Amino acid sequence: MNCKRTAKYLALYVGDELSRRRSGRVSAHLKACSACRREAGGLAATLGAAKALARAEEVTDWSEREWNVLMRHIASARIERKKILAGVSWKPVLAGAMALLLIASGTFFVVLKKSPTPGVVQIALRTPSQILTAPAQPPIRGDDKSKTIVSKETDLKIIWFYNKNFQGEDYGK
Amino acid sequence: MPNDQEKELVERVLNGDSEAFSLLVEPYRRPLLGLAYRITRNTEDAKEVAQETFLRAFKYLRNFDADKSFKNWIYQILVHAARNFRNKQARLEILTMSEPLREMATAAGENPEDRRQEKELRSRLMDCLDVLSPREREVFLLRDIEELNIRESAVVLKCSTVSVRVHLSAARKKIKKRILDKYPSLLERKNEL
Repeated sequence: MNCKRTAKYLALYVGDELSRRRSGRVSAHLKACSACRREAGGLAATLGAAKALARAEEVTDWSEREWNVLMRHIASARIERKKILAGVSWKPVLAGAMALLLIASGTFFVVLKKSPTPGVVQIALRTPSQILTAPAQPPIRGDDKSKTIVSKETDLKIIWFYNKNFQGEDYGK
Repeated sequence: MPNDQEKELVERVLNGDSEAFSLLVEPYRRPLLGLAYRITRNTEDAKEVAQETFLRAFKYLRNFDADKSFKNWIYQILVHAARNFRNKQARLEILTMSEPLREMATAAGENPEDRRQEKELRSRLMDCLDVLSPREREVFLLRDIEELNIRESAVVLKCSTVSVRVHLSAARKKIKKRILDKYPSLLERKNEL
């Protein structure tokens, strides 16, 4: 273990919070490196100083009278009934529900996109206004003819369908 | 207090003996108040948070799993009560302080938090804790001052042990820097304290 890696674990090493294996590696490095040893010593000393400060610190307490009043006030409260789902953490439940919702909506759209809608296509081929937006489809009747015009400027593709007499019977209406 | 004794007191409270609650929480009175003080950094706020903790512990005692540690459970309530209190205070300060007043305070180089803190007699430990983020402070206080182990701290804070380790490591490094910068004499006379 090098100094950089040791420095990463030193703050936990002084509190004995590393695994035995990692702690052993840090110990081995400290035996060989005086700079890291000094760093560890400094951390241990400051930790000890902070603990000593906490022990010496005066924290204001309730007076006995205040404490008794507080306990009487609490004792007058009602103990709530046990919650059935008290121990359940809602975060994973919500995350699971959201994931399910996403999967379901994704599946729905995929199925919707793949499913053929022949009725719609047939109508599109018959109506002039919709012919412009409908994708190129083969004519429905065997004797129908089509002509495709593509604009060079806009790449707009227009497909015209004619019957055997070259008459667009619906177009004039 | 041994676990069996605590279990018995919990049973007594749940069976209607409200007086037993005082005996149950008496051992945690000072430690909880101390922890609340170090989290809130204000004596009055600490009393309010600790009071809320005892009240919630009483009201929701039925939800306490008697096979688990009562100490961890009540510490968990305190940490959450302190967080709620902090959020409520922050919202109140935003609501009650108008824009011109806020600008004046900024211009004078102080903010409501600073003014509130000045009223407190600040200890050196509190000064050191100021450099920590709220989560680092909670982790440091639980592990190093209250001496809960890593797993217990994670249970109280409702986070992973990895998260506790990461924040603890950062907190110790910051505390070391603060003590070396501001109170180097503490390291020389550590044993005198």
